[in-house]
Amino acid sequence: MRGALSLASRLLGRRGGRLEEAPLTGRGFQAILVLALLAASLPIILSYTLLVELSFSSTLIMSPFQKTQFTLENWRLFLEGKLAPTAARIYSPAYIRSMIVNTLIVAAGVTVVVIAASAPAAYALSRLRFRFRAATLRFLILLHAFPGVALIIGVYAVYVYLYKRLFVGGLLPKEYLLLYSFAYVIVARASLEVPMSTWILKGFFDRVPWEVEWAALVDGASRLRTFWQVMLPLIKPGLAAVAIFAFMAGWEELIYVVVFLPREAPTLASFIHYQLSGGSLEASYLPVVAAAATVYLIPTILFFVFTQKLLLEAAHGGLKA
Amino acid sequence: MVEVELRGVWKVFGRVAAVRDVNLRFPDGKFSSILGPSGSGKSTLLYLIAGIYRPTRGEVLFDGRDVSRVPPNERNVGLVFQNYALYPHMTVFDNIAFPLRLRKTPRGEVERRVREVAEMLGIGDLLDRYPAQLSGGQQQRVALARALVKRPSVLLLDEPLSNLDALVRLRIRGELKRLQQELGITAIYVTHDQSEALAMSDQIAVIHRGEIQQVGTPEDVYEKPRNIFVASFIGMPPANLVPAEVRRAPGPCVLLPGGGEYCPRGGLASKLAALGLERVVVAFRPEDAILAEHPLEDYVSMEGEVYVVEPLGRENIVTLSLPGGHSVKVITQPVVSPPAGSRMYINLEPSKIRLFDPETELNIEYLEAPPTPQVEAPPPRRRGESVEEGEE
Ligand SMILES: Nc1ncnc2c1ncn2[C@@H]1O[C@H](COP(=O)(O)OP(=O)(O)OP(=O)(O)O)[C@@H](O)[C@H]1O
Ligand SMILES: [Mg+2]
Repeated sequence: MRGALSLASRLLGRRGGRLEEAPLTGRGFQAILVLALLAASLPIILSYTLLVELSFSSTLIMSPFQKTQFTLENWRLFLEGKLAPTAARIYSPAYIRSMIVNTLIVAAGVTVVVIAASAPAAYALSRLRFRFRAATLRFLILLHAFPGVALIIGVYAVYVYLYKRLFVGGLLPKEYLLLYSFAYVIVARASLEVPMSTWILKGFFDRVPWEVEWAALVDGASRLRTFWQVMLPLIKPGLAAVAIFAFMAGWEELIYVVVFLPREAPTLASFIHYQLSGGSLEASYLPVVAAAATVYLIPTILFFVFTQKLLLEAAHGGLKA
Repeated sequence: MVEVELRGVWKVFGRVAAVRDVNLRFPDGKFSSILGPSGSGKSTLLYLIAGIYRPTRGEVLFDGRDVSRVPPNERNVGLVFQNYALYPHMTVFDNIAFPLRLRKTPRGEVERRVREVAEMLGIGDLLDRYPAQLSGGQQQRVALARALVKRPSVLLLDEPLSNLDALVRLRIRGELKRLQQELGITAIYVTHDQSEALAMSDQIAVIHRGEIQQVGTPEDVYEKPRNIFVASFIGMPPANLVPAEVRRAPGPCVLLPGGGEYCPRGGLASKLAALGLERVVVAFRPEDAILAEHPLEDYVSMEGEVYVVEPLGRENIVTLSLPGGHSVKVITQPVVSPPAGSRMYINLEPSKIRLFDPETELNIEYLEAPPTPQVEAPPPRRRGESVEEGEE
């Protein structure tokens, strides 16, 4: 019995299953694992490399082995809004800039809404015992499993309903239509992220000892202040992880943007989409689109460069010290 | 400073009653202990006083005012948690300053008072560190400083020394007592360590399974345990418990295993007679027995066989087995070291012998004589027994 227990605890690592302590992770095993992962992800790696390479290339590369010359020309064209090198100026540089700004607005907006909604929800789910709490938690997972596309009809119906109420009903002047569209995209897209974010943050809150929270209450803090000054700072890694996921989701979002934002206010994603679809493919020069796509990739690249440590922390569920 | 009183307080978690009908008074400016084994409801009791828990039933009074519904942030209590519960994201300074800043204390005063209390506790040079960079003893002082800096009307301490090593514990124990006296603060100290409770307290409340077993001075609790639990919990090693038969005539006498006979006198004799018990549990402290090769005159003597001798330096603990298989421990001088298997006499001064009713487990001294036996307390209830009404 003893032996079995100690073996089990060794396999699981000392504290609740930390994998790096498991005896199976020998050098050889690690090497095999890395090779297998590399092989599996080769197609993705190749196509991304190709994409970035293409944006710096003087000709249209069709295969990884093709000779080409390094050039910044595509980037110049892209930033000047010339999407076909032969075409006259189709888009103004200001247009390109506003496109990047639009993308930022959606991404940042989604981040703010996700954090603002999921942090209090996660706190309540972690700390309060109420009726249907377990059911709510299960329901969150179910919600997360729902694909956003499946919801688009309902979300569209609400969009139209609100639109009629606000603009046709004359509550707001037409100038606010763009604002409304942005707000709608942000809230709608954010709500898809909220269930998972809430779930993740709940895990972080669960790890803050009750006593720390009680200490704040006994020290004279109100519940709100305890949440703000003690609980939130203690789950910072979780907040950061959730914020990054939300930002990326907003940055990369295509469907909701295409449906709800007017074509005159594209984001990077919808811009690339418009370039590649609707018969404009022949008219646009792919290396320039590749430059746009590379900008589109920047957050993802930054994310993997700078957040390794954070992700590890998030995987271990927070609270150092 | 205030006097804290609990009246008929219950705390029920789901099916578990962690605190059952507790009536207690913690005198103003005194050092009171709540002593009990792990899981007996000590922390729960403390949290009830701090306002972290609301009593399921009963009331908590500060200076006679019912504060049962007052939230913790309005009670002005200082609480040192069992695991210190420092704020990991704040420096020591900010940890200690937190309660003051919440009260909108002017900056200069915050600075002054934090430094003052930090100096007093000898952590003045740690103010820039984070809790994770401190040793257990230092964390304990920071927690204490944080509790004291707001000048609380009650100081609540939840086993603050249990994470420290023996030497540090002994030192801080003394400092804590001195600090409490200097500040004249009402202190309530939770511990499972009876030597801490005995050494520090003006009053001890022994708790077991959520019920108060006895309240009294350290001498009371030590010399006159109210029931078998208190006798067997307090003392190092705790009191020996030996079942014995009672002979009714002419006067009631207790027949001990190993040949001894103890015939109490006075009030105790009449209580024993009136109760009509056939069996009792005899308790005596290991340090009250004298080990000898012969029965001593005027002592109650039991013959036993030496099982093992544990030398502790200052004294020896001799374990003997009595006829009937009961083992008892006796503390002797270090020179007394009988070989295992030898037969010795355990001699007891009659005044050191306590008798308990095996049914109610109560000390017979504390029992009212019939016609109303068993009025002092209901028999111990089982854990998880159903209890009316419940929140949470
Ligand atoms: N929040 C809770 N929910 C359910 N049961 C609880 C809760 N808090 C305490 N209990 C139960 O109440 C009983 C008393 O717990 P408490 O923490 O007060 O014991 P304690 O005397 O402080 O023990 P220790 O010395 O180990 O700290 C235990 O049986 C415990 O399991
Ligand atoms: Mg406790």
